[in-house]
Amino acid sequence: MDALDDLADELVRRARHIELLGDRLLTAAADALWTSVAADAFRDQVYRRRREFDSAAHEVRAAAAVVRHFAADVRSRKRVLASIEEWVGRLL
Amino acid sequence: MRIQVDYDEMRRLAAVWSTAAWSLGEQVVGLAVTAADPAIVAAAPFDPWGAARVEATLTRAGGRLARLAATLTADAAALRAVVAREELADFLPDIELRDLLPSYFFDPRAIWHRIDPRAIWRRVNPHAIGRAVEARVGIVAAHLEDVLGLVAPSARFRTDISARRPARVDPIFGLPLRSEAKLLPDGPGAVQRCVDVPPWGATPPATPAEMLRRVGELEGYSDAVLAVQRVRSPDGAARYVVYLPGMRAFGPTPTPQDLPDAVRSLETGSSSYTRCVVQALDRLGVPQGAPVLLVGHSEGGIVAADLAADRRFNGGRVRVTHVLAAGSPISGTSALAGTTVFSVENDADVVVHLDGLQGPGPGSAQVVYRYFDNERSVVRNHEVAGYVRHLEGLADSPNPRWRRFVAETAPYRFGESETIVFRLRDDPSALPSSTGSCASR
Repeated sequence: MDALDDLADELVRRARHIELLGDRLLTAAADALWTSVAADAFRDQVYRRRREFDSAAHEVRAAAAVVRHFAADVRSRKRVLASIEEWVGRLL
Repeated sequence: MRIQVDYDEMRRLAAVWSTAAWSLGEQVVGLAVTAADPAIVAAAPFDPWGAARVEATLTRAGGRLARLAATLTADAAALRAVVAREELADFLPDIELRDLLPSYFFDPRAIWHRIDPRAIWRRVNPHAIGRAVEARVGIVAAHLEDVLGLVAPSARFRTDISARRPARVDPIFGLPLRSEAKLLPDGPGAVQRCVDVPPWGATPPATPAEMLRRVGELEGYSDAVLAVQRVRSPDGAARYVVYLPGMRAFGPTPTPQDLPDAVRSLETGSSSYTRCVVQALDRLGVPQGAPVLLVGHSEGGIVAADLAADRRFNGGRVRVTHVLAAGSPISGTSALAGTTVFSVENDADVVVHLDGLQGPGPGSAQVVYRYFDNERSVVRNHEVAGYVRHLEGLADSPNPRWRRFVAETAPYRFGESETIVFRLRDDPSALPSSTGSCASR
């Protein structure tokens, strides 16, 4: 099932993209010359958001793993079906 | 503890947040498309429970991304709302409408009998109107490039503005600015040592803000001046801080600190002011290739950026390691490699928008600290004191480029120092016959 593996690869790419987006927020906040109590609070919030991006990316990676597992299951079931088919064919 | 809120920076961050939210939204759509992919549907009969697990995981991940995108959108909206609220507070009448219109205008009993447009016009307070208009110039200044890009009569100028490149022609007639600037009065430049020694002459500047404060002090001198401070570090190496004050007059004067010279510097990269700097360094016997830090406000910042971009000066005569410019339209000037330029710009200051650019182009090594602080006066928005205040507020900023600038300029801030102040003229014939005080009024 190449198509399912392709889907899993695409999900991994998406997860990487989401992590990059989180990094971009962090860089933008670090590049801000803004300084004050409010700025510190804002930077803390950006760190929290970065963690949220990480866990969202983790969830997408988990989905990719589930798709891969599903692809492997489908492959093995198709193999079993094919061997049954072959066995039945030989019997007939 | 000082509270410094930078609205221009918040506006920039809000834009980054919105882009990230939009990009996350695209990922949500991508996950939804993946969940409906025919490959999953086709494989489902072989493993229905597996397919259901895939759908559930994708839906959960998509939901999480959608929530995150919504949170980011709300963050961006909150940042924009804060900026909008402050801009509105700046824009709302700080002067009571009653100051602008005659008092009976507000009296409903009299209004039917007394409304007379001519009488109202006669009694309108022109000073209050002037103040009200000036208070709003800062707001318009922040959007000057966009306004000029829409209303300037010259199509070539509008094209330059919309392409975010330095304006090459004037906004009205569309004539080349460089050629126009070359028609302005100029001279070979001349310097004369003043007898004055500033109170800080023997003390190296402790901070970048202090450097700028000293430029402001020189702007208070009665004559056009610049100052060169030699800082000898404990290892014996000499470094030079050159303090370059801004423009002193709008009309032509015998000094380089006037509008014609500022325009020449901005458009041609050379003026009698830039030549005065070279002469002052020569007069002091600054060795070839010596490290130099240029600090300038307004026209002084333009001159500093011009010199940092000039191979004959930077790398030829001395080595400009750093430039600190405040209130200077230098986004279109690229310093040579090896020079770090830190530019402080108040978005409400009309002057910083005169290059028609909202910031240095992509790939520029120039570091810009842009903030919005409308003091409700064209002059105050440009004053060096405001820039010093904001630069002081940066002291604790964790920004890595700012920290690097502070660390790299440390050698200019420690050691024994001596300061020489020079009087400046466009032409040697305009120098007084005897050296005197440049500070006395």
